[in-house]
Amino acid sequence: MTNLAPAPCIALVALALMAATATTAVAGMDVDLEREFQRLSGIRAKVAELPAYRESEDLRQQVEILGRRLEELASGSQPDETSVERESLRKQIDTLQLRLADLAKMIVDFREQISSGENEQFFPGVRHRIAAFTFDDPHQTGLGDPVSFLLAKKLLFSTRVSSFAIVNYRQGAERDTSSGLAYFDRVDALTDAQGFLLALWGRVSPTNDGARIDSYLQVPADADDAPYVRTIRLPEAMGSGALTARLKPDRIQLQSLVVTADQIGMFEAAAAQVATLRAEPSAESTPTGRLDEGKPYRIVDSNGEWIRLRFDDGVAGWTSVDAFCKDICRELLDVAIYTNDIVALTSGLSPRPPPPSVTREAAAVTDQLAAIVAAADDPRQAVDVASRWAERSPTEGGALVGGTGFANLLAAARVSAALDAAGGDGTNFDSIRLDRSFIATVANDLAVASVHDPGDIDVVENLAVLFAYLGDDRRRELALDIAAGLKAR
Amino acid sequence: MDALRSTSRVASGLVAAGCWFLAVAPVQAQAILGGTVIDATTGLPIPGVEVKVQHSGQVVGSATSDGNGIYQVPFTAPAPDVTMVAAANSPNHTLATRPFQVIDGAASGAHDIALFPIGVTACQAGTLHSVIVGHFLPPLSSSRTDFPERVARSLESALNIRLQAVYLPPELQPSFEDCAEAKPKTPKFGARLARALGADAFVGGNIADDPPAYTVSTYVSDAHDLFPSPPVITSRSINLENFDEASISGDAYAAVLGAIAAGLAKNDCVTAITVVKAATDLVEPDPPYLADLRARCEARIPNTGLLGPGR
Repeated sequence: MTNLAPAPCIALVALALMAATATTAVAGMDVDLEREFQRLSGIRAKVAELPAYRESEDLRQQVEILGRRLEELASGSQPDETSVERESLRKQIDTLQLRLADLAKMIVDFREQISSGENEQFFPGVRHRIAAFTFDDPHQTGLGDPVSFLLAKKLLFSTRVSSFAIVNYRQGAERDTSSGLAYFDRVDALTDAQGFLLALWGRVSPTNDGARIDSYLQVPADADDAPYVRTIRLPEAMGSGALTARLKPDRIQLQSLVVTADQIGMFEAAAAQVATLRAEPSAESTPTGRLDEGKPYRIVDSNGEWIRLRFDDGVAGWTSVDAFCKDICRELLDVAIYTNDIVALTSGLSPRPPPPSVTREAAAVTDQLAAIVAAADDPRQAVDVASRWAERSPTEGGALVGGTGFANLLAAARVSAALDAAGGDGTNFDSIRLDRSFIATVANDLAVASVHDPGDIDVVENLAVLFAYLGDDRRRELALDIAAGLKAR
Repeated sequence: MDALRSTSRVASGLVAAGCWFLAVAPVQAQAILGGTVIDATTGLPIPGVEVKVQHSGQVVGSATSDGNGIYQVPFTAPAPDVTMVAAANSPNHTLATRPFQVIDGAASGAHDIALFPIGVTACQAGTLHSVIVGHFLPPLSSSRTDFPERVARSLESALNIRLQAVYLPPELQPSFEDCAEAKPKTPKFGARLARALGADAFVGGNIADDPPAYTVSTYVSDAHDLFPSPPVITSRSINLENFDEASISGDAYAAVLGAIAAGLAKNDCVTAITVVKAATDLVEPDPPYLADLRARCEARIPNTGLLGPGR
C-alpha cells in the first residue's frame, strides 16, 4: 500500500500562451484588414481568460476600443484616408500582444510565490485548476507512471484556456485501508477544500492479453457550483421561484482502453521521449535536458506539435507529446483532449464533438454541460439537446445515460424558452404568466424522472416550484417533504 | 418432527380447597429437544454431532445426532417457563450455541442447528452489506487455489467504483470476502450460506480446461430470493495467469449488484433504485430480475405520488 500523507507533488505549472483559436471572419473584407480582425479576436479570447486583475481589465478596454476602430475602418470607403489609420491600428495590436505576454509572465511568477506554502490552497489565483492522480497500478503492469505522465503533459500542452494549472497527486487514488475509502470517495477526501474544477484519475488492470486502462473524471465535492449549475428564475407573477439544472452524472468513466501485451512498452518509450528536452523542435535534435517532475516551468513557444519549455534556472528546450505518442498511445490522449474540452466548456468556449474513444456517458456529459452553460442564453438549443437524450426512459432501451440530469435540464430549459418567447413582445418579465397546462405537462414529465431516480434533490425541488405555480398543494407539499428527507440523509 | 416432541407435565398448585397451607414443592418438567444438525454451507445433515442442553452453565442433557443428522436430547427443565441453551459441537465445525424457550415445560417444534465448517465463520463481514466469494472448483490441469481471492478483489474494484459513482454512502458500500472454505454442494445452497453469514450474495464457480485456455463458470446466489435460480455466467478463453476483472462478465457484475440492491430494498428503496440503475448500466437488455426489483421499489417510494393523472 502507499504512504498515507496526502502531500501532492506540484509537478506541472505552465501558462498556455497558444490557446486562442477564435476567428471571426468578416465576409467581403479585404484580406489585410481581416488578418487584423483575427489577431484582435485572438487577443480578446486570451484576455477573457485572464483573472480579473487591474492590468487585464485595462487590456479588455483596449481590445474593445481597437475593435470599434477596426469596424469603422472596415465600413469606410476611402482607401487613401484609411491607410494611416490601418498602420496605427496594426502597431497598437502589436503592443497589445506584447502586453498580454508580459501579463502572462506576471501571473506565472505570482503563482510560484503562492505555491511556496503561504496559502493552503494550491494556485488560488489560477482560474482553471485540475487535480491529476497517478494511475493506480496494483498489479504492476508498468503502465501507471507513463500513462499519468503522458496525460498530464498532453493536458498542459493542449489546453484551450490560459490560467491553467495541474496539481499532480503522486500517490494515486487507490484504496487506503486506514480510511476505508477508495476511488471517487478517496479523491474527494484528498482534494477536500481545494476547490478543483475537475479531478482526473485512473486504474490499470491486467487482462487476458495485456492490460486495461480505465480513466475517470469527477467533479470534486468541494467544486464551486458555478460552471456546473444554472438556475432559471421565474417571474414574480409565477411565484418568483427558481428552477435548477445541474450536471449529472458528475462521476464518470471516460475511457476503457484495452492494450495488448506487446503494446505496453510503447507507452514507456513515448514517455521517455517526451521527458527529453531538445535544442530544436525535431525528434532528431540534440537533447538539452530532461523534464524532471517537481520543477516548475512555463511554456514559452510552440511550433506545430512541438512546445518549448523553460525552467526557472533558464534551462529550456523543445518537446512534444504528439510526435512520440502514436497509435494506441494516441488513443489514450483522447482522455486529455476530452478533459481539456470540458475545461474549455466551463469557461464559455464552444463545445467540440467528443473524441471517438470516450464512453457514451462521457459524450452525454459533454452535451449536457454545453446545454447547461447555454441554458440561460439559448434555452431552445438546450431543449433540443436534452430532449434528444431524455426521451428514452430507463424501462425502454436499457441503460439511460445521464437520464435524470437531462430530464431536469429539459424541464428548466423548456420553461426558460417559453419565458423568452413570452417576453419577446416587450412584456415585462415579472408579469409573465405561462400557460398552466404547459407547466402541468413539464411537471408531469419531470415527475416520471423523479420516480426513476428518487434520490435526486434538484428534481423534487424543481417539482415543488412548478406545483406551487399550478396551485397543487398536495403534490407541492409531498415534493418538499421528499426533498427534506433527502437532505437529512 | 411431531413424533419427536414429547411433553410431560406435572401440574402444580394447591391440591385442594381448604388445604391452602399445604403447598406442593416445585416439580421439575421433563422435556425433549429435537431437530437436525446441518452444515450451514451445504445444507446437508451432519451425523455424530454431540448436542448438549444447558442451563446456567450446567449441562442438563445430551445426545449425538444419528446418520441423518437427527438428534433428540431428553432433559429436565428447571422450571415450566425458562430460556435454555443448546450447544452443538463437532471436530470439523465451529461450536454453535443457540438459546431456546421452554414454555409450559415443553420445547416445542423442531430445533435445527446449522454448523459452519471451521474457517467459514471467519468469512463473516463486519459490514452492513457483503458478498461472499467461495470455492471455485479448479480445472484438472491447474492446482491454483487463489481464485476466490482474485474474484473477490476484482468484484471489489469493479463494483465499488460503480457504487461510488452513484454516491452510495461508504457505510452502505459492500465488502467482498473471499472464503475458499465455503463449498456449497449446489448453487442453491449458496443462498442459504449467504443468509447464514448475513451477506447479500454468494459467488462461486468452477473452472474447466478448454485448451489452450480455460472456461470459467460463475454463479451468483442471493440471500433475498431475487433470483428464482442462481444465474450461471460462463466466460470462455480465459487465461488464468491474468485472471482479473476482464475475466468476469458484466452479467455477473449486474447479478451481484442486483443482490446488493435487493438487500438495500429491505429498508431503503430510494437507494436500492440507484443501485439497480448502476446494475442496468452493465447489461443490455435489462434482466427481468432487475426490472422486477425496480418495479417493486418504485411502487414503494413516495415519489409515485408526484405523478400526474393517468400515470
